Amino acid sequence: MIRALRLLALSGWYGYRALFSWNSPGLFVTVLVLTPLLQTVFFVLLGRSLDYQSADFFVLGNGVQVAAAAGIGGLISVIANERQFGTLGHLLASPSPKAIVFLGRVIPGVVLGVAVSVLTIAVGMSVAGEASKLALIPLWLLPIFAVSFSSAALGLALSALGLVYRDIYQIATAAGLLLLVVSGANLDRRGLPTPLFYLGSVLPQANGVDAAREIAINGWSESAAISVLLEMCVGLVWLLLAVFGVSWMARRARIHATLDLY
Amino acid sequence: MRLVFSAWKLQLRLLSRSSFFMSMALLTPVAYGAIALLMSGQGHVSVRVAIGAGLLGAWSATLYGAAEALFMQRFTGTLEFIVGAPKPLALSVAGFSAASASLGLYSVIAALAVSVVFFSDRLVLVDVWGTVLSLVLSLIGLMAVGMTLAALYVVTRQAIELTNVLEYPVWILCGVLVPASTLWPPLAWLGKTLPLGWSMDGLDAASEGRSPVLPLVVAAVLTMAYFALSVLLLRLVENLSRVKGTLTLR
Repeated sequence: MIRALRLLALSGWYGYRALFSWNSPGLFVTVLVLTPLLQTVFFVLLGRSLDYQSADFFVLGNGVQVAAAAGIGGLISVIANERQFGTLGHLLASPSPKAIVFLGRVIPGVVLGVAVSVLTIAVGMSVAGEASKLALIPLWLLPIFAVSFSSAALGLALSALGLVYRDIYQIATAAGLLLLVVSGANLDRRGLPTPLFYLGSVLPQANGVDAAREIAINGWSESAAISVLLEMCVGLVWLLLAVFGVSWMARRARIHATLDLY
Repeated sequence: MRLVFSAWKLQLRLLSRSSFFMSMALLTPVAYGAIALLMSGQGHVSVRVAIGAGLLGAWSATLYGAAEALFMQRFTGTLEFIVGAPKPLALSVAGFSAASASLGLYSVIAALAVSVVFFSDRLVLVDVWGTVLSLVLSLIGLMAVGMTLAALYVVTRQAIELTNVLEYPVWILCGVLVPASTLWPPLAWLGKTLPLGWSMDGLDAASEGRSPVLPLVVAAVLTMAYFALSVLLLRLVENLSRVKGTLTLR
């Protein structure tokens, strides 16, 4: 058990240091600090110009949604870089359990996702929203953690495709944009067309965003707890799909000898 | 002109074959346009929203395609050949920027197509020629700005950071999707330092039935100024990079 935990921690740490695309100071600040804040400002202004919802709605929605940047984009870059640096073959051929190694890669995505979300909500609420709600940040940590976890799980599931396909960055772009529409971060999900509503329900973030908004209105409540639980369930399902997908894709990559292609 | 055309053709082929560029150019405007159209409820909305969403993608294409064009040449090892060639660097860069503007046209078409398919009963177009002229000037303006940024990017190795940080501010300040008139006035005037800020004003005027001539004239003058500035900067950068010998550094 201790060996597994050690492997998990080391996989996350080394994965972050060697492969996470945005760990240079300039990129870290621009991608994980400035871009989420600017995204929030953009949607607050868009909502205001179209007379749609309040600033709090967008600050909370985007604050929770930006966890996707670290979770999805970051995770996908980890696998893509593993292939680019030529270490993917070594990783798959090593005797360590692959599931633990790849689960370890999720940890930095979750930690960074939580940090980015908290920062975005704190700054957004201070500048555009109701500053008095900053006291709710400890309560928002739960939905934020759940969303960071489920986004990272989705990121790992999508990055499994990187074992077979070479150009997977556009998958991160597409997933991020899809979540922007269906997660309810910027739109009241009840107003979405039915297929988009259901798509949002099976993807990460929608339940977490609901929970964060429920906490903002009523504090910690039963419905907020249910939403957090649902978000964790969605995350677990995506994590299972990711572990299965990584093993399956790794086998395919060996059969087709595409592992070292870049 | 032959060199500009060849650079445009080569770059457009390269960009069109890149799934990253194509997904960015096509999906970004579709997603943001859909959000804006869904936010605007059940009432009529101007076609300006769809074109604005398309221009969001066009600015991203300019940033990643035109501004980073020379930066990408640095990575592929061809920057030295382009700078060392006997033809002016500005001509090659003009072709690269034109290719990105063409990619921007894909963005506008994608946003318009989705808007027409899903929201056709709600779209309103008031001044066809004013709208088309604003769109064309926006794309030419983006080409000029792309050339200027390309010059700056040759001398810096932090281009990716700059690219990431410039996307949203220009969307906001130039009023691409959110009209600049809703911004704090000093911020709105900051957006007016770019041709896009004025051509979006023209688009706003055309969608409201006002005359777009004045803002479009300013946009055209500013575009010419950016073209002139980019030629000067590219000459300067060409000399500077030969003196410093940093072209092959990554």
